Amino acid sequence: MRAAIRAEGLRKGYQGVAALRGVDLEVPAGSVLALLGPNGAGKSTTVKILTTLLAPDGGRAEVAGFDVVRQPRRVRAAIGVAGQYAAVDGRLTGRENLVLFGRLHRLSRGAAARRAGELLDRFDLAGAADRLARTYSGGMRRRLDLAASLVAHAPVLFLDEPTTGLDPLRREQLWTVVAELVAAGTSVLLTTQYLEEADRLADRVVVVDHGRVVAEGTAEQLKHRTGRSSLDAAFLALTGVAA
Amino acid sequence: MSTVDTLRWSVADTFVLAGRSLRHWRRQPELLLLSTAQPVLLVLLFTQVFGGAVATPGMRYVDWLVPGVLVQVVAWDSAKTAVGVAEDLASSTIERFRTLPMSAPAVLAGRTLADAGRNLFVVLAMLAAGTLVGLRTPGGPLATAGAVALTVAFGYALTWLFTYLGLRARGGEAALAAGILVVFPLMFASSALVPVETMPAWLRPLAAHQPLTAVIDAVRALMRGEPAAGAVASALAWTAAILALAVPLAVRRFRQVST
Repeated sequence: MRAAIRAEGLRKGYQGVAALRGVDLEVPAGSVLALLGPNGAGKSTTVKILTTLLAPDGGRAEVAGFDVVRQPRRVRAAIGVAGQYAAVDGRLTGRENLVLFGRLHRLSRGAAARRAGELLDRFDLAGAADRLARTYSGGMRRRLDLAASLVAHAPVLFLDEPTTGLDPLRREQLWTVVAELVAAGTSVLLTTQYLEEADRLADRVVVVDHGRVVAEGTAEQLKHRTGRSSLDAAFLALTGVAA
Repeated sequence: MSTVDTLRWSVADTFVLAGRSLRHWRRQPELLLLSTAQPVLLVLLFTQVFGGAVATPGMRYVDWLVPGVLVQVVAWDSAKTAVGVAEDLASSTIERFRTLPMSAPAVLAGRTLADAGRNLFVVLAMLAAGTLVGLRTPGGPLATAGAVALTVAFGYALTWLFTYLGLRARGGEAALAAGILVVFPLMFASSALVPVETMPAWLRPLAAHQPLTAVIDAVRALMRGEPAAGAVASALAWTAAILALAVPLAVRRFRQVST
């Protein structure tokens, strides 16, 4: 099966401090990989490189078959990015936000408007579609942000801590949406601090710490390998935060 | 993608993003109204307060002042661009845009285009206010339209300069402080409010040879129907020079901070 994301030996330093020291990972098409790790482990740096926001110092990476350094525009056309900061424009309505993203994805005015309507329905935002996004609750903003990343039917989706700060009900709703997307063939790279999230959504888990991959496998394999019953405990054992 | 396609998409993206800025103002009409009311108030106050005290040889003070305040206000409004750029940068909006298959400079070009639209609106409102307090434009409508175009074009060049400053600043407030530092000396050490000849000897050459004075003198000459070719050429040269400097600087800086 073709890989949706493949990274080999990614290295990146910030002013002499190594953030990534050779990260390899692979996301087979149509699967979900969870990137787990404590703050500062290198999760965000990895995502920034794979989404063309940051150039690696070494190593190489392909997303949807395109090189992130040499073909950034092709990569950008194939990816959707949603994250914990929900970068929607609070001074536009939900609908206007989605149309803006559609237009910047080269959709015609009509196609962008139609797509916005579909996504607003799907994410249960139709009732609030013409309200300014800054009046939205945290959960609504996050859904709008996720909707914006889906405007162009991106085959590869990056979700950077998508449920951080959401209450359990909203988190559950978002998980359902992601599961639907995956069932429809979308490949997902997910970063998270919630092990339960990785357990629920991910086919495979990569644990990073201090800029290196310290473990990888299915959630079950990681639990088995560390002899722990929960992924939480396995994670702590792997990253050496606690025994 | 061919060069022509790239250019076409850059222009399309620029208009989409200019539309975004225009929507922001439509959502806050009070903001546009207030930021237009201020310059209008300036025109009314300056003509009434300074009108009796400042001697402008061979010219009524209102005819002297309005072109000066037009350009001053446009320069001031351009400084606000720095704030918007810095705020966009501080939020994750720009980072999100950079993950889209869009033209990177369009983020900046869209904003500066929208700001030029706002400047045009403000300039027209000030001209209307000036007419109320007795402004005369013997140069005729065509020359006056030329003066407006020149003012807006100069403002457009300045917004690129302030875009660059906004990209360098840490946050909106720092950007505003830096903007004021640049724009205040230019605004007041110019021929906007008083003739340069009345300034102290050390300041005169500086005030006479700076971009605002060049543009103000050109606008004044156009509106009064005086020979303006030399002044207009000088104003256009400043405008072109600022664009030639600021656009590449801003675009390069944008690529640095957003990747």
